[in-house]
Amino acid sequence: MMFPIRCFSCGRVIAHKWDEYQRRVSEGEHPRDVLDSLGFKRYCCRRMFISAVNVMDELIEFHQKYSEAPSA
Amino acid sequence: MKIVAEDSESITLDVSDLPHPLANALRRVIIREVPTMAVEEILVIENSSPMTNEVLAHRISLIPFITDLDNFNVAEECSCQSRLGCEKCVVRFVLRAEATDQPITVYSRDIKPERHDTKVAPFDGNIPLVALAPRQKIELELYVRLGRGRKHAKWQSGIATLYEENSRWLLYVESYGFLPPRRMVLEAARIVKTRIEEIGAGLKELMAREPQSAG
Repeated sequence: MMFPIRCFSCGRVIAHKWDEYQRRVSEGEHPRDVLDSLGFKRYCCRRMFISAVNVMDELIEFHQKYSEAPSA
Repeated sequence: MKIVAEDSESITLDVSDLPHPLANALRRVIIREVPTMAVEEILVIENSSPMTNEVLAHRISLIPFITDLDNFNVAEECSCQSRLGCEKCVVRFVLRAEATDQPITVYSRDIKPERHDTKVAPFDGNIPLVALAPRQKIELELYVRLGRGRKHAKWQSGIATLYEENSRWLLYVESYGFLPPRRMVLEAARIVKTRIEEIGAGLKELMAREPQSAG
């Protein structure tokens, strides 16, 4: 749903760099260079970033659009 | 033992002069035994976020907390013997967040300690935990305890690997953020030492016994 706190394979904490990664990639930087400068050396941690899909953002958008009145 | 390389989150040691089983014991103890702090119990007072209580609690439990080894005891080994814990084995935190008219993201920096004189805190404040749509709210009480990696991987202090390179043995230790890597190795060495002494004492006792006649 949201970006995982830790890498599935090695257990290293990765989530604290997610916002910076997303910002820099959206500004046009190559994910490879961003991951290098963030210090992710192992490919298990790197794939966590490049393959992440954040469904939570869509869920929040859905909530905003379709739940105008509080249900209770 | 020589330090080959060191930075804020990892250390590489040359352990060629150490007996190999001892170097391996260090490696295993770093993974399994070095005590660290993580959220062990969560009281959910309110959670109207899109995430279920269990998923949210699991995410929070994986956050490493800066560990105060000198002032705290491992929960099961504490003298208080209480399930609720005492001030020597539990730190309480509160996580409260509410979205008013704009969606918000709750971060680990929103986790506030109940007492402000504690060194214990999430090792980084920028971990996104959950997103809240307008009018959603979470209110949680977190109980942080000292534990060991053998009970749950959230307490694993870091990564340790022993490998051979250019015919010398290297021990690479990487911290997850609970403790500085140097402290991890020292703590592991202390634990290995007490273990070896225990084995020595046990063997001595065994050998001092009267030999039993074979039945």
